[in-house]
Order: sequence, then structure tokens, then C-alpha cells
Amino acid sequence: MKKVFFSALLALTMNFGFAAAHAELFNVDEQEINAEFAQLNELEQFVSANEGITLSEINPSNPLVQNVNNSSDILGTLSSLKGEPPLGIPSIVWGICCSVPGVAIVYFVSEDEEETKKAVIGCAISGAVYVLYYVLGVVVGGLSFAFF
Amino acid sequence: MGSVMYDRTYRKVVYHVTFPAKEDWVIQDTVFNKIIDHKLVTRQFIPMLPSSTLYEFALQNNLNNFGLEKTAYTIAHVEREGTMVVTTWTPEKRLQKVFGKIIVSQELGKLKGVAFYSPTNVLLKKQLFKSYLKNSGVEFPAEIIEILYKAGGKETKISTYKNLRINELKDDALYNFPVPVK
Repeated sequence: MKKVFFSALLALTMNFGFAAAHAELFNVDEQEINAEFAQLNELEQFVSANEGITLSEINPSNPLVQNVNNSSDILGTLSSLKGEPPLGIPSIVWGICCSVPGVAIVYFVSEDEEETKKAVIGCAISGAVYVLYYVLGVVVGGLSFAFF
Repeated sequence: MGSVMYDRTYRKVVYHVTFPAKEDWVIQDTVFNKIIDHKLVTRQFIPMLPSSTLYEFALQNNLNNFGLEKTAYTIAHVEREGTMVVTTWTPEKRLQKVFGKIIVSQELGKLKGVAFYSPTNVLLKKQLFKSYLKNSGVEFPAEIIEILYKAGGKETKISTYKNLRINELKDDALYNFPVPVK
């Protein structure tokens, strides 16, 4: 009985731990984000009030554009991955699993020579394994056939 | 700042950007095109299809599960936590070496957040969806907070949306914005 009670208690504790982790996962520190984006919010208001204005038309000495870079790029998130393997997956795995398209993904997303080399090595490994598998298949398959 | 347009017929996501600079972005298939003054200045591969964006999910009314229903992901675990329903999706076995789990949370039937993990269970990115806009039965978050976890720290991106319009019969040329030849 004690064992059952203990197991139930343990399961309940683990469930609470899991639930708490999710609550934390899907919450953000609003104050921290507001503080981080305060200058950008002010700039947004300024731009809304001056319809059609571009960054190059704002006086560089304007405090609103201090430390602001023009990275008007949908690839912003992707380009921030420069030098890192796509989706955090090791480049060699991209090469092994996705072959040439995997190498292309690593090349375009990471824009890093070293990461691309790793993907090429992965691609070569998968190619070599395929060739080996094919050769063995022919030899073994051939011999098997000869037995009939 | 600017406007974003998506028409399911053309399968193009078109951004008409006004700030920081005036330019147009067209995403078609897996190609990102940047157009300035009707001239193509950048053409680049991106690992993203217009049919797998939030715009498509919203129009298909399956934004609440992040469009994962018709993918290689299946539900591994569902649990209720207060007003929140948390679903863990895992990829097919053959993809588990490349893709990790995705955790989706819903609140009051709406998508609240999505968290993406690596195959080794490391949190890579999370997106939080707030204050939904509604028009003609289609709902879309007014604010999306995206946090990307990198080796050097985290990066936060906020996208805000307003003036949601559905099934516009005008401005067809803007929805099907042509990509000039380079």
C-alpha cells in the first residue's frame, strides 16, 4: 500500500514539475522585452507619424536611430544562424541524411565554409556507404543467384 | 514596417516594406526575392514554403495546431494545464535523427505558443502568439514574439499585425506581385 501511495505521490510530483515547465516555457518576461524594445517602439511611433519616411532620410544624429542597424531582411532569423548549423542539427547529419540538398541547405543557411565542409563529408560518407552496400549487394546477390 | 499579402492561388507571400527602406519581398517555392524599384536585387534559397506559413494555416483554420496535422509529425502526448492544453508532437521515426519534438500550447482553442527542439532535446526556438485579430471567420495573432536560442545567447524578434483583410477582390497585382528577371 505504502509502495502504491509513494508511486502515486512521485507521479503527481513529476506531473507538477512537467506542468510548471510548460507554464514557464510559454511565458516571457514582458518587462524585460518592453525595456529591450523601448527605443524601437519610439522609432515605430515616429515613423507612423511621418508616413513614407525611410531610415536613410532620418538625421543620423536623431537619438531614435542611435544603435539602429538596417537589417530589413526576412532572412534576419536565418542570417543570425550564420556560422551555426541549420536548426541546430550538426552539418554532417544534414549531409548524411539529405545528401546534396542537405549540403545546399547548410551552405545557404550557415554561410560558413567549415560547416559546409562537414556537410560535404556527411554527403561523401552516405555516398560511400551506398556504393559499398551496392557492391556487396551485387557480390552477395550474385553468389546467391549462383546457388539456384 | 509595411504590409504582407498572401493569396492561396498564387502561393506567394509578398511583403511590401516601407521602413527601414522601400522594398518588396516575394517568397515563392523556396526562393526569397528582394525587389527594389522594380529591379530584382537578391534571389536566395530559403528553407521555407509559402504553404507552410502562418498565413496558410490561418486561412485553412488549422493555426491552432500550427498546421502539424498533415505533416510527418504525430501527437505523442497531450495534457491540460489550467486553461492551457499542451500537445507534444514528434516526427516520424525515420526523421528523428534530424528533427526534434515540437510542443504546441493552446489556450481557449487558440494557438498560444510553439516550442521547437533539436533531436537531442535542446530548445532551439519558441514563438508566442498574442491578442488575436478576427475577420470573416479567420483569426490571426496581432503579436508574435519569437525567441531564438543560440550558442551566444538568445535573440528576440517581435512582429505586430493590424488591419487584417480577408478575400479582398481588389489589389490582385499586389498579391500576385511579379518578380522581375535579374
